[in-house]
Amino acid sequence: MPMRVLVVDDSGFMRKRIIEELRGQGHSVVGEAKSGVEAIEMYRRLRPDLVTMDITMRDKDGITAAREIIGEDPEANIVFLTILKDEKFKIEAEKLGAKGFINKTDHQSIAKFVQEMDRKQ
Amino acid sequence: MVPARSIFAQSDKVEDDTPSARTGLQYFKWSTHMNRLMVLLFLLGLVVVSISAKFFFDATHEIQSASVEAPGSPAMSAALSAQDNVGLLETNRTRFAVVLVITVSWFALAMYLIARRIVVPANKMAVAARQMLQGNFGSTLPNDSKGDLGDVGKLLNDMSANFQEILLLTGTAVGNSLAALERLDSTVKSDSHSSSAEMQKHIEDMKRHLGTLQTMVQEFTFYQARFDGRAVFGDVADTQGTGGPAVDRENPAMEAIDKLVMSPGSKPKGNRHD
Repeated sequence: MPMRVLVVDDSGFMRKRIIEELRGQGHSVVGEAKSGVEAIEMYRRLRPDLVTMDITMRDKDGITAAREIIGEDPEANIVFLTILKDEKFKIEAEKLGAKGFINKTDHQSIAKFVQEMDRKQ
Repeated sequence: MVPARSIFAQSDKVEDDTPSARTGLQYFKWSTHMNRLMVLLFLLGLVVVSISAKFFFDATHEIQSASVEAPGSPAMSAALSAQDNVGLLETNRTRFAVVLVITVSWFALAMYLIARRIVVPANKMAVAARQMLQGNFGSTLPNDSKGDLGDVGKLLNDMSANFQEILLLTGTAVGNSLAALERLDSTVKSDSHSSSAEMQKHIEDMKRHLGTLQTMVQEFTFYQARFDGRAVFGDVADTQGTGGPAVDRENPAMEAIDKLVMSPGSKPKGNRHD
């Protein structure tokens, strides 16, 4: 069953790449947010099955936004897609209860993760 | 060649945040202090027009009254003494003063609004754009600008975010490739205990990281062309076996890029794209 996904990234071309990847797998992208603030607002409104979250963004970073989203909805499925390999972000993401922490250029891992999430749904 | 598409192409699920999409209640919510000042300016303009019109009709009425009474009444003509003329002039001076004060206020308010709404945000944008041009992408525009200029400012910020992502991606891929190359170099220089499988792994690492860069470059359209991932520059092996760089010869833009080929020991001439 296709998942409803919210894509959060401040870079337009990166959102486009992620969206193409997800649509290629038959999933539905229900919204795009380019900041943490937008992500929280859109999550409240759209209640997607999965959120792909960037970390470094203006206004509000991905970690803070994810914390707020999970604070409101502990069942939220959030995966961090980032280029940053900093271990502290990964630890922080795990602490928050994020479902994954993947390099956003690693399309194979993203595809595999989304397939697994889809199976669990 | 793949038809060029905007990298900013939005999904069909994205909300339209253009000014034309803001209607009714949305527009009211979007309305700011500046918008209310604009309404005030408009009302002030209406007051100026109304008062001017009233003075005009009053004066017309007085002239008509004087014209009607004066011919048939010699006494009336005589009564138009110097004192009456002074009174009439004073009345007119007062009227002109009122119109002048309101008009000056109107212009002052208009200039203030234009400065606040257009000149100041435009200057901020110019400063931010100049800093970006100099490589400082940390400089962003504040999100307090509304209206069309505010939209342009947001786009400028989005472009800055795009550039930063490209730089981050490029820096990471280059750094990882160099690290893989160094590992390969060490492996080759070390004694022959290293297996070819180990070297192959380093080469695969490099290919993967450079592949990320290649994929990213293919996302963009520039010089009215799009790289298709083939080798372009002359010092790269001819992957097509055509005896020259693998460029789209029918595309003048790609030919232009081809002319920038850096032969060993030389630099591209007469361009800023090196």
